[in-house]
Amino acid sequence: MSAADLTLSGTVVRGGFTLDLGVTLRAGEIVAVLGPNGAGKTTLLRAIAGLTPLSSGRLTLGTRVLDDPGARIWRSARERSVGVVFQDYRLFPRMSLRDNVAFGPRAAGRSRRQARTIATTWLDRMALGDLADRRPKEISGGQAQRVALARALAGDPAVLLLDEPLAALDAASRAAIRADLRAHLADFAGPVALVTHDPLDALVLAHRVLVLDRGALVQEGPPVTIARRPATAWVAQLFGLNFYRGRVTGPGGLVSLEEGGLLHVRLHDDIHDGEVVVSLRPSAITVHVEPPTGASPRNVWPGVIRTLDLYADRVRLDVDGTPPARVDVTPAAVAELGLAAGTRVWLSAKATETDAYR
Amino acid sequence: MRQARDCRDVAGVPWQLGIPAAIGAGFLLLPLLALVVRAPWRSLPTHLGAPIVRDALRLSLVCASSAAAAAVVLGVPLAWVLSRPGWRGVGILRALVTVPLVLPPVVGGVALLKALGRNGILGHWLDAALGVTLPFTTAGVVVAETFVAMPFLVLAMEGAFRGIDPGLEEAATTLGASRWQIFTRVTLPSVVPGLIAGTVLAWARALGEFGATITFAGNSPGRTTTMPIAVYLAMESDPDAAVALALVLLAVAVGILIALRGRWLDTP
Amino acid sequence: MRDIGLRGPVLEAAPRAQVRLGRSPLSVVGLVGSALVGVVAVAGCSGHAASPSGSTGSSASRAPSGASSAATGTITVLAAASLQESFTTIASAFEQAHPGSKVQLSFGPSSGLAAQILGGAPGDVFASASVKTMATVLDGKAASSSTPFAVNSMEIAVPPNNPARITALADLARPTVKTSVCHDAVPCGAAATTVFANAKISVTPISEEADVKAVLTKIELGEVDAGLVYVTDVLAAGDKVGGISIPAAQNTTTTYPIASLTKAANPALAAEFVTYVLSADAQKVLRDAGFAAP
Repeated sequence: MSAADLTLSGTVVRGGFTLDLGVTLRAGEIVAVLGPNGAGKTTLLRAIAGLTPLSSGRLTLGTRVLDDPGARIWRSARERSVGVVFQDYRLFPRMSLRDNVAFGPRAAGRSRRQARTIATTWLDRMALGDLADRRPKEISGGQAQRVALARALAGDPAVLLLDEPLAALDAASRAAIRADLRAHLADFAGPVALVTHDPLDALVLAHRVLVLDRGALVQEGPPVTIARRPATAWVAQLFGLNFYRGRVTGPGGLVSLEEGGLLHVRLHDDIHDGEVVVSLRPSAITVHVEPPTGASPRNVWPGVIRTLDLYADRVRLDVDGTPPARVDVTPAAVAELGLAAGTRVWLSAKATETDAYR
Repeated sequence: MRQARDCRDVAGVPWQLGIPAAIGAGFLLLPLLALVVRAPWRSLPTHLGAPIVRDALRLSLVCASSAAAAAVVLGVPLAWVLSRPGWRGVGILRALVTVPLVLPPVVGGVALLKALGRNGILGHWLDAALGVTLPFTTAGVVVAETFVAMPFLVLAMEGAFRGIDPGLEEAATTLGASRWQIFTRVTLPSVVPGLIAGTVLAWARALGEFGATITFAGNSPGRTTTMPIAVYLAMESDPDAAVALALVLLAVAVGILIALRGRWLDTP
Repeated sequence: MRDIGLRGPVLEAAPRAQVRLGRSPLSVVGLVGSALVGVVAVAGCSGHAASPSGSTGSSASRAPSGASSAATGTITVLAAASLQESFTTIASAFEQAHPGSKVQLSFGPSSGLAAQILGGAPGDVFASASVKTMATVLDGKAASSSTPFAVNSMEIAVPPNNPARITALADLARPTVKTSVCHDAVPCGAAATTVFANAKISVTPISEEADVKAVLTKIELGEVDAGLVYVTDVLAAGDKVGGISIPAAQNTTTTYPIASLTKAANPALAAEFVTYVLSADAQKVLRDAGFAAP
């Protein structure tokens, strides 16, 4: 199948929800779709797969129109050659793994023998050859995920869609399967859309990230940009950053924050005034029990510790102040400074660590 | 699931359930037991050796199996249509197709005569155009039994179809399967337990069918005299023979049901 | 087999009986009067000297004071299905003539009723369509003696338009004619076999029905061209079937015996009912229904 770009521009109404979007997924590109629950991620996949029709606009694959309600064009799911890996895999419970994978080729008119050969090849590639005669309920979640991928790919689709492909797995197997998935997706020539709520999936697997919220595209860019300069509080939280909205009020990068307080920031992209968003890494903030002396950090403000949480080698403090902040410190520092819930502290952050952008 | 059931067994049956259950089982089994105990065992071989018994038994098995097959061929698609949500009138149609369940079978037989009899709405045309008359024929027996038995299958299958995860059918669509391929390769395999249960139910109902059969197809030895009809007529002349015939029917039916029951339990 | 009781004619029985009553009100009144005469005779030997409210004179055709010796209470009469219309009429006339009495009727195939009686089903009177069936009841000591009260004979019934143009018994032997009869095991089937033998014809019935009502249903619906049923059935079916009589030389008769049962709960009233069935007025009802005298 020759690789072609997929372009969607239009609206999808599903229940009381409307997705309004204009995106292009390029051939060979892996696009992660991020967003909170109800943002429209699954609706987007269903519209591309042909399980939910567009209400307006147009969906094209290369020169082929898949859905255009205005022109009364509709290609059903079976005519689209869009492979889907569903969140719950949806393997056919009464078929062997081989028959599951052979289903696509059989539906496409291959002989039983040809379809079985194709299926065996795919299962071997997924290192599942030994399990070919088992039923889906007789294998692990990670294996089922690979069977679902093999089944989607065996039909030789032009587009591949993955809906939360790793969500059903336990944390231990997730990393290995993710690496596996990365290798298989790299070989795929067409566009790939991967819905996820795990930022790591986006960082490791995707070339580009789309952030959806309430049916609209709110941010789009390479994973590294999204991770460093999130446009919404939800994405910032996803990547563990402090996130503020404010307005440039003075020269030299002084920002007045919406929730109160002032921060000296590093202004990007020749911004001199107007509204900006500010992100600040928790590890870029320093905690003091006495007001810090010396002039090095530009931003210093007091606060009270609300909660402490231990994450592996660091402790995340949730500090109530103006503005509030999440701060990462070492466990040793917690002991040394005698930090506890209710402790009065001073926070400091360098202006160069404090990114302001639009 | 199975483990949970075992645990409950160990914990014992609460008497509020155990006593009515025991009475219920006794109520169903005692008449059968009485039939066996009071059977004319000495004259049994004579009764069973009669050619009419062989003919009636053969006819019963052939007709009940044909009726069950007809019920599957027509009833499974009907159940599938009824299980699809979202079209108007489905509720009314569902109620109507199950009417034979509550209709006295003799009335069903009369209704069949009015529809498919020689002077029936459709039967008149069948007779005139094709020279086909169903009453008093073996085919007529199958028609009557199918009429009475099919609703059992339709109800069982409709429930089974409703229980299917629609996600599987969606997955099959994205893999390029046609609606027919989805039905045969995904939907139907998912309802196999329901299909077996429904078919056995329909078969058993057809095997015991009397009222609609004798009304629509009459009684003609070797052609339309099934076991229940033979039993009824024997009751008129020789009650001992009737009991003997009933025992044969009972033995065959119970034997087949037990054999199938074993199969079901293997099905997860 | 429990289905049998649900046949159409059961529903039609009541209105038809009323029509009969309405048609000859005089005969009913007369019948009631003469019945009471019979009752007086029987009442003498009855232990039940219940004194009903006879003295108030509520009944229109009340007989003189002697009626106060009549038995009261309820009796159950088990009667052959072919007696449904006439016995419904007779029972209500009997009740009118016997204030305080109630007759519960239960109709079914004679052999089925006999099996019920022998099986211990409660009943006071048994009216059978067959001497042979009555004999099994007598043999089983469920009754001590029986009396013939009516005779039925056979007739050819055809659909109203008589599609096969049947005019005589011989027509039934034509291979294209679809004929339905009762099964040999039931009395009407045995009678049909006798008729065919008497006429020296060979008839291959297309169906041997379980009872005479089933034969009638098939004729009414036009599923068969002809059937052999009782004269009384043709009469009861009105214009739904046509009747073609069978010459006496080829015909056969069936005698209907009646008996009060030994386990009767109300033997006095049972005896009165049997006597009443043999009375002239009850016999008139039976005659109107097509039965002959025994």
